[in-house]
Parts: sequence; structure tokens; C-alpha cells
Amino acid sequence: MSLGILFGTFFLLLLAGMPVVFAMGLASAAFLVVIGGGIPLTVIPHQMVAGIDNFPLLAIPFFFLAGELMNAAGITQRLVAFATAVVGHIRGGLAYVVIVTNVVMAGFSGTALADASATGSVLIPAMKRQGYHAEFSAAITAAAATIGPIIPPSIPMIIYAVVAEVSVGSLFLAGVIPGLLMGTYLFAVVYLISRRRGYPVQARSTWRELVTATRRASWALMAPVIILGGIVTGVVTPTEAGVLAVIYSLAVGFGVHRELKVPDLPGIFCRTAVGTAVIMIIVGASGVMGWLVANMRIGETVVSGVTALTQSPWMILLLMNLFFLIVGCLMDPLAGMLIFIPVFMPLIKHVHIDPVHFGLVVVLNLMIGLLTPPVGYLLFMSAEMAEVSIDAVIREVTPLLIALLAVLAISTYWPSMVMLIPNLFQGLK
Amino acid sequence: MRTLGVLLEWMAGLLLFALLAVGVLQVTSRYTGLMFVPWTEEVARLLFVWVVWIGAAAAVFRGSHIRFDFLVARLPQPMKAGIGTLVTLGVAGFLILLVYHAYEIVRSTSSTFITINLSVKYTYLSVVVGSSLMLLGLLGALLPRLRGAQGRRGSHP
Repeated sequence: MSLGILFGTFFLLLLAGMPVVFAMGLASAAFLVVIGGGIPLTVIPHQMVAGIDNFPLLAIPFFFLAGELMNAAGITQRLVAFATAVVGHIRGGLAYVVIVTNVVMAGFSGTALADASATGSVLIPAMKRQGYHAEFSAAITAAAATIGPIIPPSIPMIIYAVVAEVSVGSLFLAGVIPGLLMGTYLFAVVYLISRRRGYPVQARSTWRELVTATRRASWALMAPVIILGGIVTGVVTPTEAGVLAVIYSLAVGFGVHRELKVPDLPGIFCRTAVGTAVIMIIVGASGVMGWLVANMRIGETVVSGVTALTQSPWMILLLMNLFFLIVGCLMDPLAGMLIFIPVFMPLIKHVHIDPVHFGLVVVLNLMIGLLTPPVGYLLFMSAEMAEVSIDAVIREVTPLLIALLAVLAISTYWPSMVMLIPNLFQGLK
Repeated sequence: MRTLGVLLEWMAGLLLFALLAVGVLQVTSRYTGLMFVPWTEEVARLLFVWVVWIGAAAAVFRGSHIRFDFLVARLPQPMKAGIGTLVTLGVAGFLILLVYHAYEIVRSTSSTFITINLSVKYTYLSVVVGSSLMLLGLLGALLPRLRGAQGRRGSHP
């Protein structure tokens, strides 16, 4: 039961509170020592480097950096002002503002937590001041932030693409429609809740105000267009798009908005470097586990085990969804993806599920997992920002969660919707 | 120890800055056609590996590596401390193994990068340096805890 030793040790160490990266490393080492079959331990540092030393992964620090720089450049406030001018006059206006801001921000930021902290720090206090329930403000902030890694660029998608060996660009494009769908579905839930509770409205803005807000936010609104446009047309690789995004945000921060200051830079670079390292070192360690999984032919065991039960891609997608929803509850999304993608990839290919479509489904699952206890980072973060209990936020997030699950179901069983844009631009590349 | 942690953060930040500079160089050389710089991809990858290992070492000093404590947090204090010490020892053991075997790779690697005359062993050196620094960071976190445990026992007999 080689599988049991590897994963059993790993989960035991994880539960004991060992950091993910070391739990992966130690479990792999224990496995190699006990049933290594003469495989030298140098495979550990070797794979820990090989897992990182991969050009597409370089997009991660660049998009991370671009997100931090844009936030420091005062883009969040401008986007909020723009969204308020557009949707503020609807009942529950600020809740829609949260969603619109997140959708636009998703177009240049790649992580849900960064989006939640950027929008939440501005909008949660504003919502509380206007009489929204604090727990609802926290819930909508958390739920809308899950759009960030679905609409490109996306850090989890880059990692999936590298592990599953699919094109980062295609996977990015696969997220566009589902991401917009998430925004739409959240709109619908906010509409129902706001009407019932009689949440406040903002004064309808005049045309002049709308134009001013749009002009002030235009540099922020252009960023997704440039990034996505470059990738869609195949002019730049995702890594180069990351570099361009950094240059763009520096130019906007220093040249246009003039809110970015040179003394801000060291802090931003240090924070981004350590933040990237914390994620990437896990990617490296998972390289060891992935290598063992491939070498022990665990994927093939899974293929024969599952296909003995069912051959239908429909059933297998259902099983995968349930599995990754549970994983998303219990684990860090990145760790969950890194451990289980190598295990399931052979099965996905065996039943002819498109690995790009599957990638979107997995990332969407794991983002939903950020909203569920016990490991729901977005819940903890937004509850803290709104100064309410996590239980109260869980209650309020439930209808929003159902809306996101509906998007997951549609995206799972309507692959041609997900793959529409990637297929459309296949010819351009 | 705190100073070393901050120093490492700065180093990681500087390495990231260098990585960005190489990235900008690559984009400009590719799209303006003004110059041809063949080594950007390999150097960028080398810098990235160093950002990760130095940054991960800094994260040990700050205690900011991703971990789950929802189970451990509910245990009574003495048990929690005991498990914490065991976990730290386990991590230390893994790091020692990592330093040892990474050094073995560094010693035996003789190939060079394709586009620049630089040995590939500098990639693996990042693991040796990073893991050694992580060990230092663990020590820094463990010592006050041990001292603190004794202190508590002393004051509340």
C-alpha cells in the first residue's frame, strides 16, 4: 500500500500543523526511505528545483507584482468610484459595486485574497456606514473575490497549466465566460436579498459624473484589455504579459495617477517576493510528490479503479467535482491542486475530457472552497475586516455560494460554453 | 535573528527586482528588435529559483509558511506545545537531509547553461543556501520557545 504511506504520512503531518511544503517533503522522504527501491534521495532537491525552474511559472511573480503596484497606484478607489457611478443607483448599490470592482480587478490581478483585501478594505467600511449588515458586506466581498482567479490572469491557472501540461493562454481564455457568469449570478442573488431587506441606494449619477468617473478609471479599465488582448492574439506569452502588466502599472502609478512613490517600492517588492516564494516552494515540493505518483504509476491504478465503476465522462466529472469540493473545504486550494492533479490526469485523458476544460472546473471548485470552513481563507479574512463572527458570515454567504455552485454545474456540463473563446482564438496563435 | 529575517526579505525583494529587469530586457529585445539578448530566459529562471529559496527562508523567519492549525489550535496547551516541538524537529530533520543531498548535486554537477558560460550548479546552490538559512530560522524560533517554557515552569511551580 505504497499510496497509503505517502498520502497517509502527508495528511498526518498536515494535521499536526506542519507547513504544507515540509509535510510534502518529509512524506516523500519517508516514502523513499521505507520503500524507495534504491531511488537516491537526491531526487528530492532535484525535483524541488525542477518544479520551480519552469519559464511559464515566471508569470506568477509578475502578475503578483502588477496587482500590488496597481493597488498602491490608487486603482481600487478609482474602480470603486467608477462602479458606483454605473450601478450605485440600484437597490443594494454598494453590493453591486463590490461585484463590478472585482470583475474588473480580476482582469489584472490573479489571486482572490489580494482582491478581497483591496476591495474589502474600501467597501466593507462604506457598506457598514450605510446600514448594510456587516456580515452581508463580508459575505459579498468574499464571494465576489472568487472571480479574481477565474477571469485571467490567474495564478492557480498558471500552476494547473504547468502541472497538467496544457497551454496557459488557453486556460486563461477558458475562464472568461464562467467568470462573467459568476458576476451575473451574484448580481441576481444580491438583487433578491437587497429588495427583501430594503438595502440603501446611491443617488443616480449624472452623465457628467459618469463620464468623469469613467475617465478617472480609464487607465485601470484598460489594463485587462491590454493583458487579455496580448494573450488572446498570441502577441505575447503569459509570462511576457506579466512583465508588460508590471511596466504598465509602474507607468500608471508614477506617470498618470502619481500616487505611487519610490519609497513604496521596496516594501512591495519584498512582500511580493516572499508571497511568491511561499506559494512556489510548495509547487517545488509537490514536484517531488508528483514525480513519485508518476513513478509508482498511481495514476494508472486510479484509471483502472474508477473505470471499473463507470466509463461515463459525465459521472467522472460529477465525482471529480464532489472530490475537489471536499478537498477545497479541507485544504489550501493550491496544495490540493498540486497533489491531486498528477493523480487524476491519466484518468481525465483516458475518458477524453479536455484537460483545459477540466482545469477550469478544478480551479472553480477550489475557489468555492475558499468560502467554506474549516479552511476558508476568504471567510476568515472578510470576517476579520468586517469585525463579525465567521459563523455569521457563513450564514450570509450561503445563498451566494449556491449561485457559484450553479455556475460550477453549468461550466462542468457545458464544455462548449467554457471552450468557446479558447477555440475561437486557436486560429490566431 | 530578526535582523537576519528582514535582511533576507530585502534580498528576496532585490532578486525579484533583478528578475523584473531581465524580464523587461527580454520583452524589449524581442519586440523592438533593437538588440538580441540570448541569455534572458535562462538567467530569469536562475533568478526565479533564487527568489523562491531566499524568500522561503525569509518566510521561515516570519513564520508565514502556509499551514493548517484548525485541529492543533483546539488541543490543550501542553499537548499543543509538544506537537509543535515535534513538528519543528521533523522540519529540521528534513532540512538537514535537503542541505546534504542538494550539496551532493552541487558537487557533482559540471554542465553549464546553454546561453551563458555559467555552471548549472548555481541553480542547486540556492537549495543549499535556502535550506541552511531555514534551519537557522527554525533555531531562532525554537530557542525562545524552549527558554519561555522553562521560564513559565519556574514562575508557576
